[in-house]
Amino acid sequence: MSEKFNGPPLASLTAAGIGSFSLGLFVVLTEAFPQAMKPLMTLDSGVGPLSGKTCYAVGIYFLSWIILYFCFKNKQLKEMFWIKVTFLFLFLALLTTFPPVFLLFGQHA
Amino acid sequence: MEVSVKEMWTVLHGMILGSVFLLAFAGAVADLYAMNSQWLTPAGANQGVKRLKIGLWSMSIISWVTVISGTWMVYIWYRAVPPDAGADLTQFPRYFLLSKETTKGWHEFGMEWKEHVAWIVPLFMTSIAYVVHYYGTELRANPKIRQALFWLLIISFGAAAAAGIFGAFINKMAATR
Repeated sequence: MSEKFNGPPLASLTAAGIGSFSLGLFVVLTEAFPQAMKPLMTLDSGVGPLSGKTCYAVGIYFLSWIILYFCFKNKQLKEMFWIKVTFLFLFLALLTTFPPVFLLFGQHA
Repeated sequence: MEVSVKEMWTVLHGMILGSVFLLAFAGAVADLYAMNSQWLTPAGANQGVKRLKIGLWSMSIISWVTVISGTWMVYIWYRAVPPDAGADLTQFPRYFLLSKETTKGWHEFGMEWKEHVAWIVPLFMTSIAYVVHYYGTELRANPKIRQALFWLLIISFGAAAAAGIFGAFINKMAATR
């Protein structure tokens, strides 16, 4: 077994999962509530709503990494649990960024 | 031999950065797979980890530059709105694709998938690089983390490949000029 605390690396992987899932969530929410979400997500008129979805998701990624890092810093965590959490977030992110899935939430349904 | 600024950025985004990322994947996955305590001497592990760190941080930087240039440059040109109904749609790729029943799927499925799924890659690549950097040669003695990184790398590659393939096809159907 490694002698280093596994908290910091697990914080980083979990944050990547959270950031990715938040992107998928923004995609679904923008599809489901376009009138409310599109102006919120449009940080740049040229890029459109994609600008907000991606900028907010990246922000959430780094923010959750910082928060989890300080929570997990000197801790030895249950590795498999946090790895499963990461993969769950990743699975949800892949699902919610797949057009046939997120379009189910929109007016195309 | 003329190349416009838009074409240059499209080439840099897809053919140069995207291809380098996909090629680097093979090396990274092989090094990560080989990072096993039973197969490597300490000197071999040192060398392998050094290569992995450089490779993964490079892939992370490349993936960030690829998605940022794709979203904040190429995508803006892709979704530019034609000035009037009679405009030449070949200069407006998104509207060109949507104008025909036979090509609208390239936007509605291809671009809609590509523009979102690609952004998952830099997030995971950065975290994978950080984890390898953090553990260093101790990665050899941590099979669970190693296995998780291996699969995360494969999935990130899949996402990048999907984005790259659709990008190439979309640019073939309606080139950004």
